[in-house]
Amino acid sequence: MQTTHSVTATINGRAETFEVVGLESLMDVLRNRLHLSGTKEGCREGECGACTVLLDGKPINSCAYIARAAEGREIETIEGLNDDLSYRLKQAIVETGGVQCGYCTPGIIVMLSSLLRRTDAPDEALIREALSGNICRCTGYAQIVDAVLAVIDGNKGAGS
Amino acid sequence: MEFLSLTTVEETLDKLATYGSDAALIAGGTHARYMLMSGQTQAKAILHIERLEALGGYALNGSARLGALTNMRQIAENEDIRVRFNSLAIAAGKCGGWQTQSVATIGGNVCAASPSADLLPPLLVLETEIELHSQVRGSRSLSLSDFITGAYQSARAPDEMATAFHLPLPAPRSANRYIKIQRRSAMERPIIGLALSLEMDDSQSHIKTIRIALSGGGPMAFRAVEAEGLLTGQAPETEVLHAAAEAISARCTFRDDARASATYRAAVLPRAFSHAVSECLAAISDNGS
Repeated sequence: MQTTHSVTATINGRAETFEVVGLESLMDVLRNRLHLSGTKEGCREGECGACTVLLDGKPINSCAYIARAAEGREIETIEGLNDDLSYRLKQAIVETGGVQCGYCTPGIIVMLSSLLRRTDAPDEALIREALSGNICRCTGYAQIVDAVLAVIDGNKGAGS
Repeated sequence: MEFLSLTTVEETLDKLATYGSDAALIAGGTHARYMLMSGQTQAKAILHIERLEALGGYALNGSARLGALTNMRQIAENEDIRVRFNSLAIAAGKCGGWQTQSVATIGGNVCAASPSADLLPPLLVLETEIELHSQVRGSRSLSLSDFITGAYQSARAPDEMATAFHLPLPAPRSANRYIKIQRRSAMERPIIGLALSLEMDDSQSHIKTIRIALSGGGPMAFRAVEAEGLLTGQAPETEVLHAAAEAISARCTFRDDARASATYRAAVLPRAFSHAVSECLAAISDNGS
């Protein structure tokens, strides 16, 4: 039997201590121990992006990341993305029809939030490149890209 | 199984000396965790080296030094790397999605020595040396061609760790490019990954030096030295380029797999090569004008 280890990390701004077993993934810890089920399980091998979270601000596939490696680090999940930018992104993706079955949506919002935090006005090519690790089988991506472009347009309209 | 989070190179080399082949080094873990979980590699001790700060970064000092823990995103986005070592930046930016690239490292990609590793062809044409350290024997440098010894096989001894990659600065009138043939535009291992480094003579009419490397063309990434020999000193004209493409193909042992058939690989290789030559010539001509 594998022993458990205690790990402390900042999750959505709050210090959390949780038990992990062996090489258990960060995704399993978030979903099953911390009950943050907004992070979705898709492929379990880093292919689909449904489990995207931010680790010290960088997007990662939490299914492929060892939870023990998160000791002392800062993790943001879809549940924690409540800043103005993320909020506007969520609104826009609903308005453009970028949500169909919705399974990929949390991972896509997390990825796009990280893109918009570091780049004010990414062009369509960069938006699509940033999304290359997020698989959506419903929308064909066009409405998702439209949502980001709408947020950027809104930024300009607000004179920011 | 022990999981040890390490913070210094000395500490890591000490653990490697103790555990030897029973140790598995893990940084971002995008490849290593999967290998361990699936039982394809076994280890008594997992040495987590993601936070060895000494092994990060990119610096120029006569040559370029890339720390072994430099991640794919850092390589893909670095302006200087994009200009000098374009083939490497492009390959890093095409290795998985951004989520993978944020944590996957150059050291991990090279040491895993996958037959279809994206970074190996560019690093081979850039004449990269890999720096290895052991607690007992100290450090040594190896050319990457000598380091990669087979499919998933390298010359790294069980007690050694890759710490850095050294790349000579490219010559004037030269360019390097990476062409990745894949089924989708992202999230694929290459069907063919071809890197080319081309240096033209003073008049820009003849090839001074050329290096060609390929992944997906056999059990390991390799330099196509026969084709390089055919092209050195020649004007880059259709006939000799065609002969060179044949020479690259002759070195390949194409096979059918889930990504493509051997027939497709053989058909697409000359086109990838020709594309790489055109891109390099265009870049050299742009810089020279």
